[in-house]
Amino acid sequence: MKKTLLAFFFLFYTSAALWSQSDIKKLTSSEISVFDLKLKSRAEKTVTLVADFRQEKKMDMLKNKMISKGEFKYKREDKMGFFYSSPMVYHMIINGQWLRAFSNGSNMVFDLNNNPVMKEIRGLISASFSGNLSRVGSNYKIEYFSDNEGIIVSVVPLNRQLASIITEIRIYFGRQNAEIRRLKIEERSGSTTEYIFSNQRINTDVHDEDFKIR
Amino acid sequence: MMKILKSGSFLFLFFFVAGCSPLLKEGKWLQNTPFISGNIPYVYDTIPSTQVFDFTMVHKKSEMTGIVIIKTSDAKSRRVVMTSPFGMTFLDFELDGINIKINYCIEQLNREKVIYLLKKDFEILFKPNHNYITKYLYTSPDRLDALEQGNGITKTLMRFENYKDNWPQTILIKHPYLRLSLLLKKSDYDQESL
Repeated sequence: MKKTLLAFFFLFYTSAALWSQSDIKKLTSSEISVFDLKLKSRAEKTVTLVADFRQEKKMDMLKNKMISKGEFKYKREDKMGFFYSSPMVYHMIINGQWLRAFSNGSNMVFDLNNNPVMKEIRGLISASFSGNLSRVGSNYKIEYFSDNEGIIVSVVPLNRQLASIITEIRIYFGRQNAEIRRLKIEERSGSTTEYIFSNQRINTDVHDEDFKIR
Repeated sequence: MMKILKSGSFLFLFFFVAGCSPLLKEGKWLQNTPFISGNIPYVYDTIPSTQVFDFTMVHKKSEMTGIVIIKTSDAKSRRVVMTSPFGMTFLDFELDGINIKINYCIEQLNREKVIYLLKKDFEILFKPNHNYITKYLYTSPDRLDALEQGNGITKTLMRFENYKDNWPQTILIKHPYLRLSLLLKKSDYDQESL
């Protein structure tokens, strides 16, 4: 009996501690509307965006995360590029329906219509920047949360093909300006990849040439 | 006649395995090396560690790049994970010297022939004295420069270059009849921290 009581108190206190630490709550529909308006307002002002990014890949077989770094560029409506500079030079440029991958002098162009995963990720990032996150379609279950740092949008793919690769995408926005701070992809393989954006500059010089496909 | 045949097969291998590399002139092919000899130098470390390579896979005119992470638990057990540079894992498998265990594989890649081809390639890489019919090329007794295994569609060619601390930093695996190649280059990731 004593042991059962001890176990009960242990569970009670540890659960309580976890809840207070996480401090995550679901947004009400009115809070979601307020956030959507903020996102749209920011999107209207954002023609271009340049940010530094840090990619962190976490896998159960590794002691530490694998870190890559580079520069992210976005230009309204459908141009974006991840320009990796460390540890390898690798450019992944998306312009409309085309994806260009460039590394070590080799250049490959793909039609996103043949790459559903990248197409969906492109769609989600574009929707986040254009303020249309609520309208990404019936392929996802979308939920809104908030924590001490800002707003978290959880996107769970319902499409079978995408769901077989990605279990959840979490987009972390700043509370005040609704800027994307982090993008976390939970994979079916059990690993996670997180993109952390910093040093964000809005409406600086970003040229179409940066997103050249051919 | 035998001489002509020998020089003919050497030229054949020369063009397929080594391209224009001058090293081959100094090399020595050991035909039908006995499996039990155990004298074939290893090209991949057996000490427990995690190593990362950048890879480029070319099939006909298509090309894809990514990262291969290889975790060695002991001389026989290894886990191999292939990801895109963007971070997405597309293949995760374990080898124990005999069997392959798939931990994860994206649907598009999950074809028996593809998986068995990769299994065979990595098994040869981890244990070059793998088969009676393998041919080897050395420039020195403790350093393997190239090997060839199989005939026709199953032919596999491997080259080991840029040796550093006794291990090649560049590995090229080719299946000439399938027009498929896999180039592994030791990555600039801080291997120690992983």
